[in-house]
Amino acid sequence: MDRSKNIQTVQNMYSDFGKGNIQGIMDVVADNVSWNDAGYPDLPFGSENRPKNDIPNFFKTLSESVNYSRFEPQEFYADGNAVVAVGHHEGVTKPKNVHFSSPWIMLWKFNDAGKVSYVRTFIDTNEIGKGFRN
Amino acid sequence: MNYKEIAQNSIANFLKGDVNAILNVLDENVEWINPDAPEVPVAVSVKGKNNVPKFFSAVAETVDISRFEINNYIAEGPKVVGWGSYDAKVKSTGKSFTTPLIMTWEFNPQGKCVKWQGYTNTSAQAKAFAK
Repeated sequence: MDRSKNIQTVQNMYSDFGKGNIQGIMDVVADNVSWNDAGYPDLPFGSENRPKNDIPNFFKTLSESVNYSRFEPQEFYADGNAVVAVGHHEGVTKPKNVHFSSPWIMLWKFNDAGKVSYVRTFIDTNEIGKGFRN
Repeated sequence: MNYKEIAQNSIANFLKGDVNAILNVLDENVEWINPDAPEVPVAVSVKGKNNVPKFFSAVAETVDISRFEINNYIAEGPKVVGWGSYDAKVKSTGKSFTTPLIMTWEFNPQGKCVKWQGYTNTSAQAKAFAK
């Protein structure tokens, strides 16, 4: 496995996320990806086993429910076909405008074709969840 | 023993309830970091090896863990990441939760952990702790 190539792919995905280029992310995700978003079922963008064709909905829901002031990948490390990214996010929830700020960690695994085959994300779901509760 | 094996050993020692063995591989000034959610007593951060037993006491006093699996590990240099999930019941409420769990270790060249950080679905935990 090409360590630097996999880390570069993950870094490109964060860059695409920052630019709103969701297609750039979709292009490197395997059709049979195992994709879980933090906070299922309490957060509007949480998920378990989200199919690839639903991934754009994740980004749509995220943009509708969060205003980011900071989304910062800080560290990357890799082992075999896996990459771990550690970072921090901060912003306010929509429409309640409740502030959140917490570290996050994400796991990315790649298949032999170099496509993303496994995604797990962790944020402080209790903290950000306060911004969505009634 | 490499860093990944030290981390795996710590999980095995946790399952055996051997907190002293876990403490033995921590640096004196270890940062033990959790989300510090006031609603989730097991998500407590402490600084320094002498204070880490407070974390394990909080776990033992507040939850009954019925399943605990960290079955994936990756390591690069001094960093180790382990992830899995666990099921537990909150003693004070009788409510159960399942959460994914991921943890990171950072070791110094002496093989002592200088920083440990845990991430869970704190929202699921907070609901189980809520009366």
